Amino acid sequence: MAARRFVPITLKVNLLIIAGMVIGIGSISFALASTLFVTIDEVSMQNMAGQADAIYAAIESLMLPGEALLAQGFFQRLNAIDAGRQVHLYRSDGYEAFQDNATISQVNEHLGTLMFPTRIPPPQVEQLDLDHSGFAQALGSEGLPRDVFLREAQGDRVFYRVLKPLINLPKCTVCHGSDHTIRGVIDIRNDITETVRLQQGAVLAASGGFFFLVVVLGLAMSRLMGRLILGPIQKIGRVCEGVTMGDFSTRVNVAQEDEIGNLAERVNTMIEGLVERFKLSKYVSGSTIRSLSQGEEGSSVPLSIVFTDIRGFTSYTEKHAPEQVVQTLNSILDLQTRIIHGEGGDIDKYVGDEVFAVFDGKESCAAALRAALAIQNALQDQGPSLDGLAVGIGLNYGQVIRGRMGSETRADFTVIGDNVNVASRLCSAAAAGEIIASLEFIKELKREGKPGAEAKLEGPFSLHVKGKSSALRAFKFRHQEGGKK
Amino acid sequence: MRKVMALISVCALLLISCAESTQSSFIPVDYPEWTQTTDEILNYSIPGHGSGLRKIFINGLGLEYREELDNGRMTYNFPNGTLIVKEVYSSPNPADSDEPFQLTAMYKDPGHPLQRGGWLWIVKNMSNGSETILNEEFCFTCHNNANESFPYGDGNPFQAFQDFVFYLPSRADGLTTEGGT
Repeated sequence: MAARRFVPITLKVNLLIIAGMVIGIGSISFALASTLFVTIDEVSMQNMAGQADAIYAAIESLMLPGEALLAQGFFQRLNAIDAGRQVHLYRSDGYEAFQDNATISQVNEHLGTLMFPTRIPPPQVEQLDLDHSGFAQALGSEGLPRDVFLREAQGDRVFYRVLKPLINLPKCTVCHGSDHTIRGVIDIRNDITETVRLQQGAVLAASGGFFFLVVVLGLAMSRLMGRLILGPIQKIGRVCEGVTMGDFSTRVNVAQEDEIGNLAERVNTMIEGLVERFKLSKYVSGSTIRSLSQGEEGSSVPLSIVFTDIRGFTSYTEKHAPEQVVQTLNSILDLQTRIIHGEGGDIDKYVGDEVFAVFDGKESCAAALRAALAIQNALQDQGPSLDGLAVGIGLNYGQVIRGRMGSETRADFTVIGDNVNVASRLCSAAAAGEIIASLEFIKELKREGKPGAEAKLEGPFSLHVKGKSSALRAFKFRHQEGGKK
Repeated sequence: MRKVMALISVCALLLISCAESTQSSFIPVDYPEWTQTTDEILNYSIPGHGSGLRKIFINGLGLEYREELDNGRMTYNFPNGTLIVKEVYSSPNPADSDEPFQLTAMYKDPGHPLQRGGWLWIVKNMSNGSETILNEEFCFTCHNNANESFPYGDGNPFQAFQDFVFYLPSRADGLTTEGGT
């Protein structure tokens, strides 16, 4: 499985902020702009529909008494008033009305008299494209005749256009006959190029404003988030990294009354707890610390037990100054402690010049033996500096009772039992530089499959110890030939 | 030929328009038992309905229309719920066994969103029986001419407001006006 790429949280948060603002503000801006444009379009179309109705009514009024010239003049005047708005009337055959004599001739024929004089037609009469979809719709190609609203572009100009059918009303049939329903189409075309430009300008301005807003608000939000969340998180991260590297003096300096502040306070509390535990570990056993943290009660467990005792230490104390006695004792205890800890053992307690240690786990006997051999080697190597002092070591394995021993006000988490006593007695029996182990220890050592290749096993031999009516079967470990002595 | 084409085109337009407007059901099957608005044979050509024979029926409620003067102008107002049904035949002189090819109707309902001039303008598709309220200006624009002088019937010479009905039926109370829509 490929490793996931590290993406800083600052980048994620900033991206989220920008995305949220782009989507949020963008959507609102788009919706507002769209609504505005639609509203403008609708209002424009409604205005044009109103114009179309007014022009329709005017044509009705002008044409009813047969005043075609007045209607024609009306159109010309409308077109002169505003060049951007052009109004034309086309017959249903697509030709522009009031230009030739087709309608006049038809009316005169229907009336049976030359009621209306003919005119001199222009050389060419404009005709709408009959296939124009709007014109056809106005005439009713897709249902009833209806007003058609269009938005058209010609070159760089944009137009709104209304095509309104002129119905052959009953009152019109007097002159025009009743054999057709639609007389023609009123075509109103408004040039909205400037309006479109204004809309485009508004879109550009809104886009620019939107972009500016996103950038400014994005930066502000980013700084705010950095100050309130990301900065403190980074501080906490740096402190945790320092603690990992062993710097227990560092603390998180975040003064916020919120979740981040609470987190910083908890981290500081956690560091102080670690410091206390670290200090405590110098004075009490690891099992005591574990028992305190885990709330262990008494239990019977199999352990390897190690006792060491400095030989001739009493006479040493009598011959040396107290300062030197303490210094030498601490040196020997420190040496043993480091070796025992290095092999995974736990110092249960120091009793004068005696060390009481236990080893737990699947290969506890092998670890205990390695520690005992290492202690003897180390003391032998450093003999001169330790005034030639040496230790005897007793090893045992078996069930012991582990638990908190003592009163409510002062207690130790320790192990007790006959197997502890046996280990102590074996230690007492060991001469300087010797390691004596019980039969149970040897059996367990073999069962673990780690018989201690670097040591030579001697025994068994019988050993009478205090508190035991029968002799113990014991063994001694010595370094193999060629091995480090 | 031109009249036939006009008739066919108008009928086709009315039928096609059904798909764009609101479906409804107004015309009862027993409308032929209602009062006919006029005894006149309406088989002359008119814009929008061609030259086929038209027969016009009005429900009883419609015969109780109000007649009053408003600022010197005579006005006729039909009560809400008035239904006027017009049969349109394809021929000016259909046989007795011929069925109308189209029904159009006016229903007085000023509160309806699709009303125009207080009326709903309805067309019935005879092939599937569906009725449609037209959402177009077409019918209303033409019938608006009924409120001024027009070239049918009595021609409304005094330009009375006839509530978009070209020919007023005889009133239920015995007052009479030549009818037809």
